[in-house]
Amino acid sequence: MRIRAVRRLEVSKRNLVTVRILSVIVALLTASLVFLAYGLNPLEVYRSIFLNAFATEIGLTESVVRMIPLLLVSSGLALVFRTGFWNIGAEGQLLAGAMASYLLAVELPELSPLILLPALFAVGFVAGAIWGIPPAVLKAKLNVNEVISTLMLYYVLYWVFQHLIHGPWKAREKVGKLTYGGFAHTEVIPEHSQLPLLPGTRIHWPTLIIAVVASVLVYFLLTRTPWGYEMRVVGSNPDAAKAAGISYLKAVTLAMMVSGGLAGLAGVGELCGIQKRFTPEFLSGYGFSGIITAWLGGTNPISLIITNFLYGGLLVGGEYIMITYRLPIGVVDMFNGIILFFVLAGEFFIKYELRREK
Amino acid sequence: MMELKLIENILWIGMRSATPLLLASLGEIYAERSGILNLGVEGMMAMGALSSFVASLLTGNPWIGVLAGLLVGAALSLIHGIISIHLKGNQVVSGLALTMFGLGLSSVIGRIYIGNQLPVDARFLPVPFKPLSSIPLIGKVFFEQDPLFYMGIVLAVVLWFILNRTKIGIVIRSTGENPAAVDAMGISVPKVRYGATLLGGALAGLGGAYLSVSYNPAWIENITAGRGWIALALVIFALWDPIRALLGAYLFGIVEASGYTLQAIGYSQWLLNGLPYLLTIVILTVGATESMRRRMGAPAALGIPYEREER
Repeated sequence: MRIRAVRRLEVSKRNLVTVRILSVIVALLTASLVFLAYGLNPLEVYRSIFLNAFATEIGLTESVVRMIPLLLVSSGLALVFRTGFWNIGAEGQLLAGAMASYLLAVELPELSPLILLPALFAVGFVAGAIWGIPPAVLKAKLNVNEVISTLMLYYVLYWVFQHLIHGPWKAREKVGKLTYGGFAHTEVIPEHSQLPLLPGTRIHWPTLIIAVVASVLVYFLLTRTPWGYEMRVVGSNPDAAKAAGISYLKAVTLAMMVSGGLAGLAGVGELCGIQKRFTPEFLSGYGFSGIITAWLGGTNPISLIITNFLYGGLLVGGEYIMITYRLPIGVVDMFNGIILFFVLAGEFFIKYELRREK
Repeated sequence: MMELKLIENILWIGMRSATPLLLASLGEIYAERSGILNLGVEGMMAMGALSSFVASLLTGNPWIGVLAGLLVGAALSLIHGIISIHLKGNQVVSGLALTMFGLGLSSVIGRIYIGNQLPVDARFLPVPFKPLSSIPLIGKVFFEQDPLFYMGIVLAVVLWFILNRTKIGIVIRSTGENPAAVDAMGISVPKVRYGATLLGGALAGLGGAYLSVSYNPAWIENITAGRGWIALALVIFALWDPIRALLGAYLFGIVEASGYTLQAIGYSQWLLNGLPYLLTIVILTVGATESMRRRMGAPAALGIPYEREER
């Protein structure tokens, strides 16, 4: 007797959700080996992650704070992934958006927030979109591998950023009458350029609203518009797209502008809503974590919001246990890797069923 | 005379920084030629670097370190192999997962070793071959290197020969171009692909080993610093050919080493840190253009899981 994998003719939604959830649970069980290796009780650790993320008021609001950039990034990524284009450089597009809004924030005089805040988001979107365009064009015109080009553009911008905050953008410190270049961070952006927060929390609500709206608009774009139709055809059947006269360049560039732009908005939120100035540790990996939540959540806004909220909670709980149990930051990357492995393995059981053969 | 010394030094450093890139891209060439795209090179290199560092530190023997790097690299690539070959999963996502996993694990395990240096006996040191090493300009470059440098050159030639002049090579290439034909010949597509993937992982691990037991024999976090991605770009630049990978890696290494010299004369170290990545985009574009012009593209079945037709 042997076991053979047979492709399922239909993929049921219930099956899909069950397998995804099971995959994540098995992944967390596997990751608990690491806690065992550190001499910790995995059950205690997971309990503490859960309680700190979802069982306190501050945990819940902080999970929302993490959800905001994740939702923006992953909505865009879910869209561009549907065209079969692997944008791995959302972190760079996020940084581009943040840097552009910084330039505007320190320049603009005190205006009505009705003008100022939209302007900040607009430049952030444009900067992120611009940083996303070259890989799309290079891929369409010269077949340049986008996984590498998007990631390399992130690295390039990252070092430009480091150069700026260690040099031209560095804040001048004042001691008495003397000013001198101090630590590697920029000035705090003026108060009128900072985003309003929900009282008692760090939730910058304008970005939250934009993120939720964006996830809905992306879904609408993909399922209800001719552009979205073209993106889906390009992604699912490039040959048919070509035969039907659909421009690969146009579909992928448009998707990358949306994806880069939304990542740029996430950067604006992080700078003007949370951190208020640049330090060398400005980036915290939302651009990379968003790849996972986009992959897990798909394009449906409800499922994206839930996935990103839960993942945001995992990050909040994760930070807590890293501090309490003194675990290194690499734990998050490792977690991400393990979750992806098991979700991928789970895909097999969604697409195929195992049959016994005599 | 001064200038000659400077150029010699740039070339020497260039060759050294090229070696890990060369080793990793040679392995990836084999994996991709068999049809498996493994974007996890960065993660496998990081774990290869860590395991060979720890093994060399504990045993005092860099060769045991090399062995550890090879084995750990291969072990990690096995995860990617199972997902891509048996479970027919998405190879792009699996490779990314492998990179995250490998980088994360190396930082988690490596934390206690941060700042540790390898004792001199446990490192590979450049050994001069006298009197050849005193030839001006190229003497030091080619005859004062460590064993892994020479291993890189030998491997490039041997792997080129196997791929292009032997039956095993034909089978590997056919598996990447037309797996159904290989299957029809009664050869197992999964076996060929596992073999090539494991070789790819082992060589990525070896590239990592070079970093931690020779190039920079101390443990620092993120020791690979994106080199795995550069190696992936080199594969495309090389049009999937081991000898061209040798040339590409050395070219890249020399340009990178020239950057260090610019830093010495006052250019921003931050901007120069970004230079290799910009250079990677350039060589990637050059490679892609060449591949289009010569109609020598990626293997036809690259990244596509093989499914046997129902009979």
